[in-house]
Amino acid sequence: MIDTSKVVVYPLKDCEYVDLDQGKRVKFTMQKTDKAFPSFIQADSVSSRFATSVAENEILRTFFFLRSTIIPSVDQKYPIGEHFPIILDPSYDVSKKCE
Amino acid sequence: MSDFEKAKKEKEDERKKLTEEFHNELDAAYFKLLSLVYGDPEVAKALNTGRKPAISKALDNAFKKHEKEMVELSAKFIEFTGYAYQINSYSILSYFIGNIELAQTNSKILSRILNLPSESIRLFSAFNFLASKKVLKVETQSYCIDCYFKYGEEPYFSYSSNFKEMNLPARCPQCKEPGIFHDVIIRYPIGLHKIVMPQTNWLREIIIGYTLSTLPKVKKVFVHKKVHNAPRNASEGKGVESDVSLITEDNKLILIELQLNQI
Repeated sequence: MIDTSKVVVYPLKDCEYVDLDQGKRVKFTMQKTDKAFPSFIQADSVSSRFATSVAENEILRTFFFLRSTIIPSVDQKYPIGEHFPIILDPSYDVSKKCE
Repeated sequence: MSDFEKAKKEKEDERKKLTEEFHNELDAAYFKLLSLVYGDPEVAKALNTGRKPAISKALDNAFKKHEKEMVELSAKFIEFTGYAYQINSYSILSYFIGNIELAQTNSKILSRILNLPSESIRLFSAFNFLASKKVLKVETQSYCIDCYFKYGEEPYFSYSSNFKEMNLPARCPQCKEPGIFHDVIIRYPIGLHKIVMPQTNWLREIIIGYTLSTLPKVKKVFVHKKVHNAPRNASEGKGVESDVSLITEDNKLILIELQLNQI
């Protein structure tokens, strides 16, 4: 089970200081593109539930790293579609079919 | 150019040619329709007055006067649905042929954690688990290349959406050959869609961040943040952008960079 409190995706604070070993200290601030991430503020949001579900499952985790094509959609509820082409037989050789 | 590349190009050229023909025919029909109505002297005269009732009356009269030609044109528009169907068929074929290499690469990656096709059920179970969370929409399209290339018949094609149990065949239900390609389509809802952008790895950064947070030695994870050196008695540094930053239990900092969807 993932402890979402350990992960900072969209910080509510402007910055966060973290003390490191040997007396060092770092500060974390938002990147400009962080504005795309507010749907991760709540741990029980749809976005958080999706990401944690994928992270917990090794097959889904791998799947979402496959090569894909992103195609916008006219569907207002689901505006983006990501297409993952797969074939269930890795030994299949399509080039032989054209010979 | 390989035979496969030639076949790919041939199909794409056919689709382009048909689409162009369709647009030309459609444009000609629209032009004829508009010429009939707006070329009518009564309509032209009414348009010059700029008065809405006069324009409306003139248009009504023009439609009545040219009713026969209108009916003929309507029949032509119905014929176009045949074009649209054929273009759609070519588009589907072109899409699958164009993505065969991608599908094969993906299949090889998946086979590192699954014995495919014998363990396909594990992949389906993972998607059923995701579907049960009701956070996004999963659709699948399947198309048989063997049906197309080997037998030259109308190829097997299927589409499914909102399923509770994924079940993709490893062999074509029609020709029984293994050349069946599947397109798994993940539809992201509003909010989540902002992080799934072409040329970004944001979603993957988040997945990696949550995954690494489960490691016992990881105390905290920052995803997609800027990290600055911030000594207590000196000025802070400008900072660097980091995809995933880990703070370990023994207070070490680990920065992780993700490559863009490269194999």
